[in-house]
Amino acid sequence: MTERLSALLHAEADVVDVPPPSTAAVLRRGRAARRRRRTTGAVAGLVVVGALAGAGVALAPAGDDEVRSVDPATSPGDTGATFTIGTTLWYDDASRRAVIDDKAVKSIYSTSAGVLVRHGENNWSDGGGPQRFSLVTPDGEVRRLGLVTEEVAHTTDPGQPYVAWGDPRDGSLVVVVHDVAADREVARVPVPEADGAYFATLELVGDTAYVRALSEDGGERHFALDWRTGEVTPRDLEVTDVGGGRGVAGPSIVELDSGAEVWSSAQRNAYLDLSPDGRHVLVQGGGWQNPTFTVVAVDGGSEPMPLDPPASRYSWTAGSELMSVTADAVTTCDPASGACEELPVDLGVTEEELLETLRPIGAVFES
Amino acid sequence: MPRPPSDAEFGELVHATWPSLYRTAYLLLGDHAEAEDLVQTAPAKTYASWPKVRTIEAAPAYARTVLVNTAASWFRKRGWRNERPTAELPEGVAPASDLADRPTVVAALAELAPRQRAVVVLRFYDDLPVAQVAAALGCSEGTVKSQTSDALARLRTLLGEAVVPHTSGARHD
Repeated sequence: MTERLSALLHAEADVVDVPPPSTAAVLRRGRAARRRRRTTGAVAGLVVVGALAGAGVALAPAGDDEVRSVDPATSPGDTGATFTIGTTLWYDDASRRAVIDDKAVKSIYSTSAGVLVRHGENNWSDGGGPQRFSLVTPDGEVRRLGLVTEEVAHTTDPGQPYVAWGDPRDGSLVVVVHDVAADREVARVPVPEADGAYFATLELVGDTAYVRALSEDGGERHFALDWRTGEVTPRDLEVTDVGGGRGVAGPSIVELDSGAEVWSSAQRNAYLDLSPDGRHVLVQGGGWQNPTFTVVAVDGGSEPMPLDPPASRYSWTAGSELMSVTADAVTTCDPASGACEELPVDLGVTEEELLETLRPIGAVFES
Repeated sequence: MPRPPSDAEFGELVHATWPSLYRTAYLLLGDHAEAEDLVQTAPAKTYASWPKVRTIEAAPAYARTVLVNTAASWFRKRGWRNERPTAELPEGVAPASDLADRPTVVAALAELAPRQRAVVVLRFYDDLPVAQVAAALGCSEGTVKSQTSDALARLRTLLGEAVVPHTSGARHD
């Protein structure tokens, strides 16, 4: 049991040196925060403030009614820098926006049919009541789907119009695949090998779902499921992130098919975030409050490239560019050259509010 | 509109809640300077949100919730998706003076990913049930359980079976 751990935690916490409180400092901060809340308000209108730095490309005014054709040269499902602030989705490098009709956005996903927004009563990621869905199509339509789930973790493949998840109801795991373009379920595949699982996370790659099934006894099982045929293949390797036929397995990047290691981190306590094309990995090291960021080409051929710490965080766009967001700018970086472009925007929030509410594409706050 | 507390009332509140909040903050973050920053932020946000807090009696619980939520938003700053440290073995963890063969629990916590550390602190120090931890961190109960399971497995490696027996699993509801 955990009584010993709990007792040791209390014993060690009791001898932690506690500095004296600074009531004056707390009051100063409290009053400043109250002033900010009064003056900031809730208006989130966009003000166009410039052009793409370095490129001289004018930024068109964003609006819900703006329609822009999809660039066929971009990757499937690629909407550039894409994120939500509150219930507003900013996409196509933050040049367009759409408002989701719900209380809060939980997370957003790239699909070939558009940006899939998961939303509900609060911004909890996989929990917090019903998980509702809206598809924001390339022509700007916000299409509310009939799909409603609860307490499950979702996954998409940017090249397909599907969202998938593992439903562990009654101790029997079923993998469900839903076509978001047609708004209908296309597969419901039992995974009897995962009986007893209480929670599952998936990575969807084409017809394969890489399944991590968790049991109440603390055990994990890993499978590759062909969701069209129902064929289940047990795997020894846990894969937590995928892209370009590769995946993150502990400190390594591996080929999904063979499990062969193609790159491994020498850095202690680093976190790996693989680009959707599988060519680069973002290595986050250092302390969590002052992290370091390095982009590494998985196949070699270039030196690891350090990046400045972002104000919020880095995320990969579906087109495998790095993105970071502040209250007044969106920055995208080419991981191959390291060249970054800063797009000035006014998101209508303070930096603190941004951190509370930002949901970048491809970022799911689950593991 | 509820009457905001006087400076004296709020000062008393800060003094009363500070040690407990500080210890939780230190366990969550593992750093004294960051813990002090966090534990200043929580009552400051409580002060700024007084219309929601309403009474001085409700303020300690509100401040604790704010503290955890603020820590969670700091964790979010770097993302949680692949929150799995690449190192398998602890290196340079200071051994406890009373138990020379293992690190302290606080040192072992530092080896965990941020949210794993948070679930351990909230469940086994603050003794919150899974549902409340999920609410504080804004995730599902399943995620809390899986993070707990992963964290306990790693703590077992670091601290030994005597501290974290294998049978402990993820149950602590």
